Amino acid sequence: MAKIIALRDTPHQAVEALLPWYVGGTLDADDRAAVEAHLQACPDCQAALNLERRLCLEVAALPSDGRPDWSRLQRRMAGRAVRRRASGAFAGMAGAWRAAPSWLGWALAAQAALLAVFGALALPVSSPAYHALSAPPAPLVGNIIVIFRPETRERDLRAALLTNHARLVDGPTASDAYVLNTPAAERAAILTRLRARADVVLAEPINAGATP
Amino acid sequence: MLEMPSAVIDPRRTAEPSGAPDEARLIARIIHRDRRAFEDLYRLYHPRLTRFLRNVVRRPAIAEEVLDDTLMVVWDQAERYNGQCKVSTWIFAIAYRKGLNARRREDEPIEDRDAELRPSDAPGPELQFDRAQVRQNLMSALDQLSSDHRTVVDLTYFHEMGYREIAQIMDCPVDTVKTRMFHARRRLKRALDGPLADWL
Repeated sequence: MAKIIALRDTPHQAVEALLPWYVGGTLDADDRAAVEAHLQACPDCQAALNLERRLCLEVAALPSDGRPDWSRLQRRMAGRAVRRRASGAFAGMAGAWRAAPSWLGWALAAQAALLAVFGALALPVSSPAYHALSAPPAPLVGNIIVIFRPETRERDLRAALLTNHARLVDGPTASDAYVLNTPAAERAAILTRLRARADVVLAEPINAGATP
Repeated sequence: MLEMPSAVIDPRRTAEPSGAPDEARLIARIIHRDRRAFEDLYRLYHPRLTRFLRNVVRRPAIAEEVLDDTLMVVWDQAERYNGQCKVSTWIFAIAYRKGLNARRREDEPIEDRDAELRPSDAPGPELQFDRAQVRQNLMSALDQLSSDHRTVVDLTYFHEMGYREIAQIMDCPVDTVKTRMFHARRRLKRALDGPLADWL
């Protein structure tokens, strides 16, 4: 880092320091007037001004590459929108959880244990048979959040997913909810069926498919 | 969607102040999640921020990453633009802060402070410089400057910003901006015309 030097010791130095912005036309009126007054009487600064103009043109003309990639930014925006919606849905779920009957509390540990078995069974289902090297598969996007009763057995949980063509995307969340991916066209019907099940405490849509 | 060729936009010609009201309108639309407005802003700023960030961080891939990070801040927090400065000042200041953070992760070359004390490598005045030679010398000289010096030079000469606006962007006193420019110009002029042009 170069040391700070005093550039205002003399009017000549002060004006000389302003020449880059005089050339660029970005000085305010007072500065510009001071520079122009000094230039009238200073041959050195007149010569410096000519060189300054040339330097400005040459530096500004230096090449600068880099092409815009709007699609890359769009992907980031889409990912963020999904996360934001999911986060909002979880916040809503937290309210539902607070209103849930107290018997749910004791069963958190039991359901976590259930998840270990359930997750092991669900993961292979969510993996595609092969990957094209140049086109990684699109990640599953959750569009339903569901909470099962804590005493729900693993095979009932699995059956609830299989019969509704649902895939596990995430969970259990802090609210002990699971995020499911279901066929968009069937989501409403699937929600109805899930809510009708005795082992389901709550089933709500996440609007991840909507365009922000 | 078709990519607009970068050559269509001359970044210096799209610079404020003439574009300022349009850019403020774009920000107002972005606050309401208008994707088309955001795409317009992206295409307007991509060439300018690319060039700017290549001076703040050296690696092109990191510069691109910082550029995207910057514009995501604009997309997510457009309502934080309060209209008290130009849109470009606000966006460049975000980019600069993010660039500084990224730079800490890079191995920033130490500024060659003795370069100006050594005889210039540039050909003497007896040799006629062609344009390519001048360009090469300038690029070499810019490369030897610190990131802060390069940034001030770029914001002044290419982005046509005043020293007060640069001080806002870099969050430093105006005298620091002038000092950095003073040192940088001395180096660059030597590259431009050789030692005899170094009247400073």
